[in-house]
Amino acid sequence: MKGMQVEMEKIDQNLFLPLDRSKLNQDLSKDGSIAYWKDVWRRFKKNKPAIVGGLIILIFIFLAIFGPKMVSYKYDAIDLFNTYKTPDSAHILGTDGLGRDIWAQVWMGARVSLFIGVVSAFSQMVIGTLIGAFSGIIGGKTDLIIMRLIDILIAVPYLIWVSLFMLVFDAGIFSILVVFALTGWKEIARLVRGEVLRLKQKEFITASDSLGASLWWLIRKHFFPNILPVVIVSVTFGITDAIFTEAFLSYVGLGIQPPNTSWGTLVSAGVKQLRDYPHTLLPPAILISLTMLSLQLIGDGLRDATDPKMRV
Amino acid sequence: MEKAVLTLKNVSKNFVLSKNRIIQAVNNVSLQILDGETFGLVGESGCGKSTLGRTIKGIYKPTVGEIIYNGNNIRNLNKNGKKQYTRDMQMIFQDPYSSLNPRMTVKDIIAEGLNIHNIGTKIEREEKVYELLGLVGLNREFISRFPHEFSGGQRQRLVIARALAINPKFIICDEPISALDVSVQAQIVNLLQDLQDKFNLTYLFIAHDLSMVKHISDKVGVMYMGKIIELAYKQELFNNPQHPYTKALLASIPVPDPVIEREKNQVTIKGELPSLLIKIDGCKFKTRCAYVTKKCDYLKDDLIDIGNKHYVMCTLFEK
Amino acid sequence: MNKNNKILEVKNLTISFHTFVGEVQAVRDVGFHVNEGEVLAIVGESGSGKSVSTQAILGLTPKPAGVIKSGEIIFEGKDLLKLNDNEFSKIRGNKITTIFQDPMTSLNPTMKIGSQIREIIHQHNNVTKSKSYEKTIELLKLTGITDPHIRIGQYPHQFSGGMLQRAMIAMAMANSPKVLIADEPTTALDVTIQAQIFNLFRKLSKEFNTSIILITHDLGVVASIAHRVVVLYGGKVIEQGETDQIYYNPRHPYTKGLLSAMPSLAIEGQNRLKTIDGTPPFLLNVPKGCTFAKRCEYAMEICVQREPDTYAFDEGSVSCWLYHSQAKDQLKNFQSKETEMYGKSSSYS
Repeated sequence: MKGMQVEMEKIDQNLFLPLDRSKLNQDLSKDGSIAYWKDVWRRFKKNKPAIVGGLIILIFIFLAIFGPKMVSYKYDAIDLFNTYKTPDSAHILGTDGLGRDIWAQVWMGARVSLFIGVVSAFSQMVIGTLIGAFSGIIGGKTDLIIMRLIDILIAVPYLIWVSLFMLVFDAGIFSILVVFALTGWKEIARLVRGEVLRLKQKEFITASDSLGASLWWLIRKHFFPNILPVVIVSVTFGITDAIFTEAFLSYVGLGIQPPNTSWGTLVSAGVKQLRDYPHTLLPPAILISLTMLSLQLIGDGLRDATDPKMRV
Repeated sequence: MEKAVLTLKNVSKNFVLSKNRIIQAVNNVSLQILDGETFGLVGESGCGKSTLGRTIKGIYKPTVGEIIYNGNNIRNLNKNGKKQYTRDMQMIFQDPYSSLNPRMTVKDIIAEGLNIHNIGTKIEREEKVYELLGLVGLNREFISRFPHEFSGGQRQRLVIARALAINPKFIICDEPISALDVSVQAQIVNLLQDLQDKFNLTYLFIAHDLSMVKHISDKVGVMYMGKIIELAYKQELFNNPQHPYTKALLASIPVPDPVIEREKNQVTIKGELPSLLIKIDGCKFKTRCAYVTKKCDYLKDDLIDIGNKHYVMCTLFEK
Repeated sequence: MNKNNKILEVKNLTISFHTFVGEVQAVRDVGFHVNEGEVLAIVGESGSGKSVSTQAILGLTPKPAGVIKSGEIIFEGKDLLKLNDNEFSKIRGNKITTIFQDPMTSLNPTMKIGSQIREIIHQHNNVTKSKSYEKTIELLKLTGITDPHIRIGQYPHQFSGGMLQRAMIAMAMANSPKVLIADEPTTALDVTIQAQIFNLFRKLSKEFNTSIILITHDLGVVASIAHRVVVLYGGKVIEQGETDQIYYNPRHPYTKGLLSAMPSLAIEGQNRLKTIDGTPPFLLNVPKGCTFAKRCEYAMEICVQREPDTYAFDEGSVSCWLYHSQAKDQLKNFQSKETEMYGKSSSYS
C-alpha cells in the first residue's frame, strides 16, 4: 500500500470540483486490436526460416520464368560437340549427354514441376474441401461412411495409387494432373471435416441457423472464411507432395516424357551418369530438395501463424 | 384477458445415446407464457432448461408433445408459417465469445437476418444497423469493427442487436449473462427490460442465477431433471416456496448481506444429482429429499394447483 | 483465529505482461495480508488483477511474458519472490496450497485420486505407505466424500464436478497448510453443490486454523464466508476492510456500485438495477489518475490527474480522493446516497 497519509498534502482546491466529462476523450474500444490476416502476417514475419523459405520460392519462380531466357541456348538445343561439359563460362551449369545447356533445362523443368505442383494442390484442395465439408456438415451415418471410405483409401500407399493410375493413363502433364487430383484429396478432406465439426459447435452457427439461414448461406458466410486458414496451410504442403510425386513418377518413367522436361526427368537422366558426370544430377536434385524444404518451412510458418492457441 | 403466446403441452425431448441409454432431457413439460411476459426458467446443470429452450426454438424437435404458438400447433404450420415462426422466435446464447463469427464485421453480423431474408434495400439495412447499435447502447463507429475488438458485455449487446434486427416477438435468453462480469450483467439485464417495454417482447429467461431471475421475471418455473417441479408468479414463488428442492435451492444461494448470511441456518441438500441415464420411478428428487416417503415412488406426473396460481409436483400436496 | 497474526503479507506487488501490443500492467502496487485462521476474499472483475496477484504467491506467474517488477510476499519471515525453485517446492503443496476453478486441469486423469493425494503427502513427509493411506482416507472423509475406501481407488473421470472439487480440497489440505488459496473454486459448480463446498471451507478454517484466500466475483459468497475483503479494480487495491463494513458502509464508489448492481433475493421490488456505466479497463495504456474515474459518479478533476493516495482507517483502507481532507463536499454527496440494495428484506424460508 502506498504510504498512509496522516497529514494530508495541500492541493489546489479546484481539483476537487466534480469532473467535467465533456473534456474526456472517448475510449471507444479495447486497445491493441488487429485484423485477422494482418495478425497472421505479423506472426509469419517473425518466423525467420519461413521467410527464408518464402524468398527462395520467390527466387525460383522468378528464375523459372526468366531463367531459360538468360542464356542464349534453347533448352532442347542439341550440341553433340559439347556433351557432358562441366560448368564453365559458356554453360553456367554445364551440359548433359546431348550437349543441352543444363541451366536452361533446369529452369524449363522448373516450370513444369512448379506448374504441376500448384495446379494439383489446387485441384486437390477443391475436391477435398467439397467432400470434407459435405461430410462434416451432413454428419450422421453419411459422414461415418465417407470417413471409413477415406480410411480405406488412405490405407493404400499414395505412390502405389499414383503409379497404378499412370499405368492406365497415357503419360503426360494432363494425365498427371488428373491422377494427382483424383488421389491426393484425402488429407485435406479429413482436415476440412475436422474444422467443420469444430465450427458446428460454435454458437454463431446455431445463431445464424436461428435467423433462418439456408445451408448454402452457412457454408458461404460462416464455414468457408473460417476454414480458409487450415486449407491454405494444407495447400502449401500439397504443393510439396505434388512436386515430389511428379519427380518420382518421372524418375521411374511414368511421368513426363520427352521432349518435355521436368526436374524428375532430369534427375532420372542424371542418376544414370552419377559416377562420371555428377554435375548433371546435382542441379535438379538440389532444386527439388530446396523447393520442398522451403515449402515445408512456409507451411509450418503459416500453420503456426494461424493457430489461435499460439498467439503471443 | 392476456392471451397465451406460447403453450407447451406434455413436451418431452429424449436423446438416444445408444440402444438402452436414453436421456430424457425434457420430461413431460407443460406451461404457458403470456404475451409480453417474462417467464423465468431456473434449475441447475442437467435440469433440461437449455434443451427446453432449444426445443421451443426449433433447434430440436420434441420427441412427444405439442408446442402451440399464437393458437397454432407448430407441427401443422405450412412453409410460410414455419418461416414466420423462425423469425418471430429468436434466441440469445450464453457464450459471447462463440456467438459471433470472428471474420464478420459488426455490420454483417447485425444485418445477417436482414440479408438472409432479403429485407429492405442495402441502404435501409445499413440504417437499421445504425438504429440497432443505438438501441443497444453501442457507438455508431463500431459498425466496421470485428468481434475480437469488443468486451464480453459489448458482444452480448451485438448478439441482442442481431436478434432484434428481424423484429422478433419472442426472445429465448439462454443464460445470457452468466459469462459476464457482475457490473456488466446489470447493464444487459436493464437493456433487455428496456427493449421489452419498447417492443412489447415476450421473454423466456433461462438461468441458474436465481437473483437475476427473480429480478427480471414475472412467472418462474423451477426445473429438476427434466421436469418442472414448481411454477408460480415470482412473488409467490420466492416468498412462499413449497417444493423441498425449491426451498433448498433458495436457501443455498448466498445473499450479498453478511448479517442475513450469518443468521441463516446453513442447511444444504445432501447428495448429488443422480445420473440422467438411470431411470427413476416417481419423484426424481426423492434421492436427496429430506421429506421423502414411500409415496414418492408413485408420484403422479402432474403439477398440482395449490391456489394463487401456484403449482407444485410433490407428494406432500397430493390428496 | 488470531486477528493480529499476519500469516502472509503481499507488499507493493507490481506485475506486468509483455505482449506484442505492448506492456499490460496487470497488477499495480498491490498490498494485502491474511491473518491466521481467517477467510480473506479477494474480489474483482475481469482484468482486476486478482488471479495474477495470487499466482505470484506460489510462483505461478507465466514466464517469460509475465514480469514481477517489484514487491515482496512475506511468509514465515521470508520473501517468497526471492526463493529459488528448490525452496519454493518445500512450500508449495505443503504450507501454501491452492485449488483452481477447474479441477479437471489440476488432476492427472491417468492417476487414481488416492495416489495423487498420497503423492503430495509423501513429497513433504517421511511416512510409511500405510500411514499415507490412512491419512488419505481421513482426508476424503473430512471433505465429505462418501465411501472413501472405494473412492480412493477411482479415477478423476469417475467423480462428479462437486466431488472432484472436494478431492482437490482433500489434496490441498493433506499437509495441513497454513494458507489455502482458492481461485474461483465453485464458479463451475451448481449452487447447491457450491453451498456444500463453502460449508466445508468454514469447517476447515475453524478446525485447522487454515487461512483461506478466496478469489471470487460472487458477492453473495463473500458475505457468506469471508471475514475480510480486498477489492481490486484495474490492477490496484481500491478498498479493503472487514466484511460488514464493506457491505454496510462501502467507502469506494466502485464497491458501492458493485453492491447496487447485484439483484438480491432479500430485496423486494427492485425495478431497475443501478449499474455502473462502461466496462472494466484493459490495462494496456493505463490512463493518468484513477482507473475508475471514467465510470465514477463522484469523480473530481484530480481523479483524472493523479492516482489517489491510500487512506487508512481502524480496520481497512480505501484508495480514493474522496477521503482527502479537501474533498468533503463530494464525500458528503457520496455518503448521502444509500447503497441501493437496501430496501425491505423479504422473508423467505
